[in-house]
Amino acid sequence: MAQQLADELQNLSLCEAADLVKTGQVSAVEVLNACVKQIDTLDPVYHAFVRQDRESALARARWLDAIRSAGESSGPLHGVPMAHKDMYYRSGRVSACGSRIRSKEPAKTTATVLRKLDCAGSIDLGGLAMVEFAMGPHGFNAHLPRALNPWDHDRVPCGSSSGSGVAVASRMVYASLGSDTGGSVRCPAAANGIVGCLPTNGLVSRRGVMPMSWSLDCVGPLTRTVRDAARILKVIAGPDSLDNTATATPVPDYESELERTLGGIRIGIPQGYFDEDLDSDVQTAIAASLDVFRQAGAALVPAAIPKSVSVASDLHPLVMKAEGSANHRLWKRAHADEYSDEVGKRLEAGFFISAADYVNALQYRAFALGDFLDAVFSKVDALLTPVLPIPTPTLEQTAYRSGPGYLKMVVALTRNTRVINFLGLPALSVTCGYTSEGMPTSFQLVGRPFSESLLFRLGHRFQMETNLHRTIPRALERDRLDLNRLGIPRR
Amino acid sequence: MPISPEVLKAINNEAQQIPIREERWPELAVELNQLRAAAEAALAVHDFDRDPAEFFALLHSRRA
Repeated sequence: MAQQLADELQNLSLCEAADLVKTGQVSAVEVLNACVKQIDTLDPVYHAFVRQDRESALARARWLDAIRSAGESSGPLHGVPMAHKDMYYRSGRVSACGSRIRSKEPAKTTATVLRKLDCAGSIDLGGLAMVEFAMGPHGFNAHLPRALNPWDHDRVPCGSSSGSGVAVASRMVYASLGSDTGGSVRCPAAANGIVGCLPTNGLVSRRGVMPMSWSLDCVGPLTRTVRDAARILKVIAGPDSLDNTATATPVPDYESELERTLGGIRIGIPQGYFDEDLDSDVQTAIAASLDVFRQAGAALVPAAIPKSVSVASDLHPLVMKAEGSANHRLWKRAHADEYSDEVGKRLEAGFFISAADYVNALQYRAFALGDFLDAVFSKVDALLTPVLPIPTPTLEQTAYRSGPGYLKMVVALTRNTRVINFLGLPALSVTCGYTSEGMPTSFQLVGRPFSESLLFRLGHRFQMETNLHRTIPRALERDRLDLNRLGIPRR
Repeated sequence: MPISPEVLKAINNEAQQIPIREERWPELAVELNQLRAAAEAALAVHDFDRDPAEFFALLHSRRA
């Protein structure tokens, strides 16, 4: 009976679980125990967690149950276990950021987004694996055991929010915060068959979050449903007196907009850049998803992509590396041997970018954004592009090596995502089909600044029409049975 | 004129002082030349009066 309840709870969405706790049909402790059971079964092999804060999570679940019994609620996430990329600071706790260098230093502050999630009633179950200092797209971290993709263990989970993608897809937690500088929320969401949301630059506070590239970094949720992402974004978005880059404008109630019809909405089909070098399986899934939207009442409109997008795509690494290297300068001088080989090398170029080139790149962002808004959003309301133009790569394809083939694959991974960070626009990644080898593939819906409400509405309708979000990852079911029966294999 | 490994080494010795392995200099020169080419391409529309902060202002002024 307890096993059946745990199984049922694990497969609920965040909103479904929160609503059951709210109405007293299950307790926060029961929901937490279901997550813990899944973690105990899978994580010794999946390696999504780098730290579990079980005692504090259980104490909080009991407290949340007690106040609910007294007729009170903390908020829309009351009793929902989450865990986050290990770069969200909580005062007194170590967030290693996937590194050795920060593995012993307790945080001096608590991230604003964690405070907001606490106030909304969520339970923080621990820290999740990530690429060292969030610098890398395929999810590998030489300092950590490899996090496994629950669809196919021979394929990467993508990154840099690798643990977030794995933990949410494998039902260990209901949602997770990742960070997205060039695709680090949307790519692991796509690779693990879940939803990833990149908010408009400045919509969510970054106070108390490890900086990678100040002008490009965004905080975003990874979830199993679009509704879940909408609920979390409503909680974490908005003003922060401690972060003056966070927007001061009111945050809409995204969930209340989800059921509106799609009549009159124009979805852009990219002509140029985003339709180049597409894998045929990805192309097929994207075409099928457009058909779903057409049948749901949206108009499909060709959208010519301006040439400035290619320039923006090439400038993104210049900005990211210049800003990232500046952050790491003192550590690179004093502790170069504590960086992994791959990330250590990634940081090096940023030290030789001229200040003039960097400022010119920042100046170009305004031009590129204006050009994109004029060319695309004067004709459509949202643009639909693939997240990954290729199927999720295998471990072998991503093993670090020099040479043009490897570089081409790394560049392809973030080709469609990084340019959206450069433009500062919001994007929502949603699973839209499967490759011939059974791996999920996703589209991203890109919108005007602060148009998250529309993107959620489109993504939610797609999930309601297709039910793809209910699909259990291919390897996950098998692993759950095997690991329960045989115990934990030693790797 | 392309950036050479020797120029990068000299800048590093004089200013940055980052420990970088010898075999990395040619690779770094290739990467830096790609980034320089990107920066040069952006200059085609360079506007003397454009403030980098305009980007963030534009996000708000053109909001949905």
